Amino acid sequence: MHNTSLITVTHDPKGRNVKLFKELKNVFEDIYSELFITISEETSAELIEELENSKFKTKIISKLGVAHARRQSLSLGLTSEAQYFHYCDFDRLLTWVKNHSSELRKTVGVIPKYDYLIIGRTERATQTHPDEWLETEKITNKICSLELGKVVDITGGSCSFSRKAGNYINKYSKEKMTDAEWAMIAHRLAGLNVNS
Amino acid sequence: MLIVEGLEYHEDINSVTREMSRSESWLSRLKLSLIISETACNVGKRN
Repeated sequence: MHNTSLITVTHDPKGRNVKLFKELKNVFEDIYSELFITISEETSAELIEELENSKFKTKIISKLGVAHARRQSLSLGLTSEAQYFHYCDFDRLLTWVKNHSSELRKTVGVIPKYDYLIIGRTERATQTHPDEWLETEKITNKICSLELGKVVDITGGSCSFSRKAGNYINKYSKEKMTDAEWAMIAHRLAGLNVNS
Repeated sequence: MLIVEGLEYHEDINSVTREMSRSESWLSRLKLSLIISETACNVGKRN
């Protein structure tokens, strides 16, 4: 039973993800009920064409930053009847499907159990990142964990939420980065449980 | 806590699309950390 939709964003001027997307798009279509993506207008024409010819519902947007793209993606997703949404940056999703597709399928399966879920990384997955990501994300995750009262990996680039949470986020999101903002809107403004 | 193997980093897929020096890359991530952290502390408290 599919009841979770994917919302994602891409900015890929060189079309470096075209080949991988062609190989993996059937997996996306099998895992999710619906697929929504916002694509920066600077993205390669080839990738745009591939996405538009797939089951993704697409929206070309101006390059106004990742937060803008994520909000546009959520807004697009909310036009559907979906009750749960999985957000993941497109490049991260490709990596996930390429190397751990069964884990992704299992993860998407538990999303309807949560109002809002911060999806974190294993220690091994975390350690694959560059030093500058690791060192700075330690501080970000420490502060977010203190604010939420639980240990979270807010910088993993993936979360999920119910339609109710999505409506709150759609109404109140306005910050320059959404990683912590969306969780805090769900936690403080919507009064929903934020799990990790 | 839900943690996954799939959110791993591969240079050819997940690196930033803009070319930067090593120091620029560190500064960029530092700024990002500050923005996300400030958001965590502020959102929902002032509205």
